[in-house]
Amino acid sequence: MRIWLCLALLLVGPARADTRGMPVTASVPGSCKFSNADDVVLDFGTLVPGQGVRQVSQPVAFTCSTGTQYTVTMDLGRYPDGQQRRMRGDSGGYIPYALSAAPTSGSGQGELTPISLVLTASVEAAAYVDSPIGSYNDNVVLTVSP
Amino acid sequence: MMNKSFNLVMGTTLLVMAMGSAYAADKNVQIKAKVVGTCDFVDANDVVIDFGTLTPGGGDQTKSASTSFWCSNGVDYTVSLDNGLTPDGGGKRQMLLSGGTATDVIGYTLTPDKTSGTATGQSTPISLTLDAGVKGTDYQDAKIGDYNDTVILTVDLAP
Repeated sequence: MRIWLCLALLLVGPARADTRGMPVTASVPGSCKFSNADDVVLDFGTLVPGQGVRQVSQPVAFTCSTGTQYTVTMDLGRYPDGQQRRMRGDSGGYIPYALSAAPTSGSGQGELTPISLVLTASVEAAAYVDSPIGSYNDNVVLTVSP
Repeated sequence: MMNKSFNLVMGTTLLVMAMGSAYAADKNVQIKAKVVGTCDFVDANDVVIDFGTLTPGGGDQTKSASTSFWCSNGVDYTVSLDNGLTPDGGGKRQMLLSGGTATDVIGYTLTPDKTSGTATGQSTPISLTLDAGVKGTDYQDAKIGDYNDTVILTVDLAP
């Protein structure tokens, strides 16, 4: 009886090792997520016509799975003129602005290592010298993709 | 035991594969600004109104000079002038004789061609002309010499 038992165990052993080693590896997808759900707010504050170029920056943190190559993209906002992003004023006027992100690509290092992304928006002096007074805004969707 | 283990692994694999690569993250970015009203002169130079040589008996004299300013698009502005450095008790502007006493003055008038309006932005400067005048009677007995005054011209947002 003891001999048979040993044979049985030997037969079972390799079989279980095979089944466990079979799947996995290739199909584990990378994922990216932001560290919080808050909107990023880039506020130029008060624009006084004649004051010249203005620029504001805000950092935002995200994580990606270790080794995942990510890319950062942003849409053109709600009121683009061709490829030019614009803020819309409550009086109906527009102020064109530039928006950039750094970095725009890289490699994730896992959930414990947030990556700091800096968004920078700027308006040229000429973009608002003749702008009607009032509040202006736009909304851009920022996407981090594996 | 063997089948259960196998199924668990296969099940996990299928689940992961089914979720695919849709792990991108989106976030809203708000861009904001507030354009406020302002007014400014096009250049920083003083406006000079020079009556030149006044010869007693020469009668009334007028001179004018222009400057330009702009204000934010859509705002109402006001133009104002103070009474200068040496007004009389009634607020009438007077030029003072250089090196003279408080009574060595020549009264004059100063009037802007506009005192209010609505602006349309920096690209559309607004021209402002200041008219100055002296009456012949205001300098017929004046001592000879150089007379001058400094008035502050203010362009501001209408309240």
